[in-house]
Amino acid sequence: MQRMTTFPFLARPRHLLWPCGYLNLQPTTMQPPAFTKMSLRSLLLLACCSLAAASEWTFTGGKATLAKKGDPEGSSLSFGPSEPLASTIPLASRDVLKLQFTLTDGETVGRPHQALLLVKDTQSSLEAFFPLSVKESSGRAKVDLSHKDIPAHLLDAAVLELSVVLGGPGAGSSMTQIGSVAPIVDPAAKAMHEKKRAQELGEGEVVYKPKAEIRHVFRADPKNPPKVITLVFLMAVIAGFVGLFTAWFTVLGANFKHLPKALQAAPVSHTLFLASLLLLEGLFFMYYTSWNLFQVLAGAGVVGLMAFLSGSRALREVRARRERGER
Amino acid sequence: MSKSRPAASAGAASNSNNPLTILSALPARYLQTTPSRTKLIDAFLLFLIFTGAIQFLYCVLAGNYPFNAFLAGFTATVGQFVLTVSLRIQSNPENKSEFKAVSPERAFADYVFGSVLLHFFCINFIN
Repeated sequence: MQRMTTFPFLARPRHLLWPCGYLNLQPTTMQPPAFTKMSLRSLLLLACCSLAAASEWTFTGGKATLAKKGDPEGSSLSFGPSEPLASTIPLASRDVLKLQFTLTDGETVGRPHQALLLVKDTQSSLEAFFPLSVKESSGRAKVDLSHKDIPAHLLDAAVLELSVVLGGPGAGSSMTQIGSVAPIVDPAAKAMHEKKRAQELGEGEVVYKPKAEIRHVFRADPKNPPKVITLVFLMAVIAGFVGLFTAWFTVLGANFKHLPKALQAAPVSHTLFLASLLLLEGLFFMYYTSWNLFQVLAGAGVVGLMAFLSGSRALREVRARRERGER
Repeated sequence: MSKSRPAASAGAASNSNNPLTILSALPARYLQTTPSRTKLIDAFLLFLIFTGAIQFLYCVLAGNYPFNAFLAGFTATVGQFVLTVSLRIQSNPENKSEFKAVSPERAFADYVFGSVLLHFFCINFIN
């Protein structure tokens, strides 16, 4: 052991210590007593350590229960702060590892500011933590560990270390390893495992970003067919017209022979009536080419009135001839 | 067409119930018994059917662009056909008993009015 450093006051040159002669003090060339061997610095350190040792959070009475699928109670093992679980516990997909212990800060039971179970994969340094549920009054803490809680990347590890982390402001904090767990991934649930891994990495998340530009090409305007086809069909319609007129005038002999008699009886009415009908068709032609609706309606009002008046007269005359049997 | 055939002449032929016999006798019978006015109307009806068929054939072959033109033309044909048929019914002397309140002249006046309206709407639609 090293010689303790002497008190500085007494380590002065001899000639300056002349007042000590009057106080009957001897310079310390011999070994001082045991108490004064320690320095002020180490004294303060020891005091702090003893204070801290008085309120460090720890736990007692640890119990680990592995509940399997067909065996709800399961076997239980005990552990403590200095006696972790001896063997690695295998954790299958349906198993639940229940941990229970009582938290204490050396003197009283209670609940620290933070109480966590840390699950760590030493090879990849990935870790996850699970808060313990602690009762304030009794300090009893428990936590359940199963495959559904552990992230998928941790489940791939061979061995996961379990540690209890306790602490808070003011009091001492501790991290105690309590054992290890070997998760066994079910090969049948491999697809779900892969999906969980992808989800944890953030795949499948909705990311809002601008979409690709849309280049729309509108449909081309419809075009008329070649004029030849139109002409052919026009010829067909005109042929129909020609056929109609021939049928009327030659084959059936339309009532042209009635015309002189009709004109004789009521010339004004018949001419006005036929003229008004032709004028109406003329109005429609003007509407098609240049006029607007209001002009056509005005014209139709006038011509319609003319047609009505002359028509009634003309038809009255026709009826008279029909009743006479001449039609 | 509500024409009443006299029952007496039906029994003249030996196998009068045979459809083929009736069909072959139909044209001659038509030309004999139909009044001249009705035949004029029938010629116009045939013309209208022909024009409507031509328009439809054009639409099928050459596409229906512009569509409103096809509709206007086809509607004109069909509407005129309907009006002419109703004129034919009302002015046929054999149907006199059914149309006591409507004289043939009144039917003709209605026909003219309806045709004018139809033409107006078709011109409007053809744009």
